[in-house]
Amino acid sequence: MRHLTEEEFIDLLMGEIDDPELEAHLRACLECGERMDVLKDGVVATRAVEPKIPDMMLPRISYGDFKRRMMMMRLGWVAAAAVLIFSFLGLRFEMNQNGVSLAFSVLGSQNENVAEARIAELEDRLLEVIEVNAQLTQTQIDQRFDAIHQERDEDFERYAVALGDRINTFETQNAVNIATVREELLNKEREDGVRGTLR
Amino acid sequence: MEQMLDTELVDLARRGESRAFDVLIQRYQTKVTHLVYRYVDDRDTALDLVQDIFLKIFRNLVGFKGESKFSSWMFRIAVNDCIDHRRRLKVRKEQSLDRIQEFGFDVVDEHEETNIEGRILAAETKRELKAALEDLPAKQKAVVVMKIYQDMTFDEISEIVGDPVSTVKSRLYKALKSMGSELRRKSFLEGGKV
Repeated sequence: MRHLTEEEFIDLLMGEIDDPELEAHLRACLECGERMDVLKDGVVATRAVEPKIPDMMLPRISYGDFKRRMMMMRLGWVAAAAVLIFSFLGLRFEMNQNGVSLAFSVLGSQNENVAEARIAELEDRLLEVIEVNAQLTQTQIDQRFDAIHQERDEDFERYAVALGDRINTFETQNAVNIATVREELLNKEREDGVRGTLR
Repeated sequence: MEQMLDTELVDLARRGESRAFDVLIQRYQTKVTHLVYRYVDDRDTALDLVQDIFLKIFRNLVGFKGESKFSSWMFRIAVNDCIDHRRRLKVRKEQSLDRIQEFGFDVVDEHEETNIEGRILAAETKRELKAALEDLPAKQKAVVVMKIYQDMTFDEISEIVGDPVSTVKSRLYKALKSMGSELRRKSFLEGGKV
């Protein structure tokens, strides 16, 4: 008789079939008997290392838990997809000392547009600072000039009065001098006239 | 609802009836946990995997067409998850083994060391047999777990793994032959029957 097939070995070993003819062959055939003994040893070895089920507190699993978890997973995916799409389109969040801002650029030119936008923003701020400085400087200069002009006007008025006084003084003195000289000339002419008459 | 058939509960669960799904979980959680534990031989890993398995069942329940029994479909997901886990673990073990050997340390499986009871076999023999069981091809080990440990029928196993009964029996034959040969080799080296 032919030797047993693998399937027949397993059927006999596991008690799946009750076949006297196969069992008779097994007893008579040394080779098949030896193979069956190896398989029986295999069962012994396998059972010897069978993991013993420990006491386990089974976790609570429920439809509601899974639904919430799925919802969170979906939300996570949606958020991730949104970030991916927006970043692909060029929208991005930026955080700096002024707070959080959104930057946007046309598809495919995100980096260039962001850089250009940044440069333009800096240029605008620079112009603004220059303008503010210029306004401050002009105001200060104007104030200085106003002060100088005011001081000058005050001084001029004061000098004008002083000068007028001095001129008046001079004119008075001059008039006195003229009168004195005229009187001296008249006196001299009178003396000369007297002397000529006498001669 | 506890008295309803699996098919009725599955129909209700697919329509969003949460209680029906909860009943299915209650009905099978212990069986699935035991199957997974016997495959991975680690409590925490088993509990984590069972969570993943039921989440997969939850997510794929809508696509379950009833071509096989619900329990077979569920156990198929469980077995496939165990096989995937084992593959990932094997890759990690090989990587860590490479690293350990690179630095010249001995490899000692602490987990195996602590679980040895030595009631039937000597500690060393048991450790080697465990290693032999781990070394079986993933599908052979799955058949061993389902048939020898879980005492499932060949028809059930066949439906779960999606292969013919003859293939399942052939896998079991090869697995038992490997384990028997390992036991005999060990007995021969120790000079007597274990």
